[in-house]
Amino acid sequence: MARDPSSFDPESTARDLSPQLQAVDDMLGRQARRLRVPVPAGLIDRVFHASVGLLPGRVQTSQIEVVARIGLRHSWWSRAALAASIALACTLSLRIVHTPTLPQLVWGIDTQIQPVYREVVGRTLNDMEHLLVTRDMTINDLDVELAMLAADLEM
Amino acid sequence: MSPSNQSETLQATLRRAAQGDDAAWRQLVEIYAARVFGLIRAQCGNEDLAQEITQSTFCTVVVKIGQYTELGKFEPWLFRIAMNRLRDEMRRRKRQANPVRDDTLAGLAVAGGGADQAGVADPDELQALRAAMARLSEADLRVIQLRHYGELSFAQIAQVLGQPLGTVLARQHRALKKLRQLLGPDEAES
Repeated sequence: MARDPSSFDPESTARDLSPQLQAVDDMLGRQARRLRVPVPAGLIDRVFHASVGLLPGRVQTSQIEVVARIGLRHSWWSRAALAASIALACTLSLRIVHTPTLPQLVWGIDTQIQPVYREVVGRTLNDMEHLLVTRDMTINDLDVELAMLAADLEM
Repeated sequence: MSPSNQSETLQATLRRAAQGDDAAWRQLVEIYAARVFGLIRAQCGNEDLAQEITQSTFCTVVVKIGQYTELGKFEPWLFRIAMNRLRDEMRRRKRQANPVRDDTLAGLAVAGGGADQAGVADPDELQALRAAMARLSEADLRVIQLRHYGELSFAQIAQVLGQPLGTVLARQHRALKKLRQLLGPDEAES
């Protein structure tokens, strides 16, 4: 009777193998057992300690609190950055709107207001970068912001 | 303990681990870490890398253990993750895996039989086997390794490799046939 091939038994001779092939298989099994290297000392402990904290339903309360705090801090910082960014954008828009020589400023003609303009734009871009990195601002949001700035510039 | 009882116990241990039982998880690590380590070491010949991959594999498995509480699914899944990790690492290092061949067989000569007390290694047999196995295709060799190092059933090997059972059996048959040809009747039947 044919043996179930799904069950493991390297010593078995009852599979559909000729005695010659069975001898080779036995030899392989024998060598594999001889080659078996003892598990390095401490590996089991290391594996266990590295993974046990990730068991489902075993996340420590302290871990949850830490994650919550990080989330809260992240959220607070992002909102503050967003508010600052909007404030800066508004300031920038007002300055641009009330500056008659805007094209000259934009294209680098030296005036008193130009350094201020560069600083404001730089800070705004930094804020936007932060918001993008923290994913609090999507590309679409950025697109809207830039479109608004562009519209202001055209005015 | 009979194989079916053993299987039921393991099944229960898996379920307990999936519910967050530390002791059950520890038991699973003790049972499977050695097998994963042995298989990966046999494939890459690098003990440090085998340790890293073993640890990384268990860290991945533990997170989704709830989805694999059936023993028949758990074992192939575990070994598949380990083998994928090894493959990715080898790709990352931009060099190929060095299957059983030299390192592990040479390791045997140094270890003088390793953990096995069944007998002293025959250097001639080893040498001949080393040379013969080096000539197997990667696919055929993998089946042999999963069978003898991973101690998986053919059905499980099929799942790990994502191949039909018939293909796996054919590969094993072909590998044995080729080894026998390469070893010669005397060596193979000694």
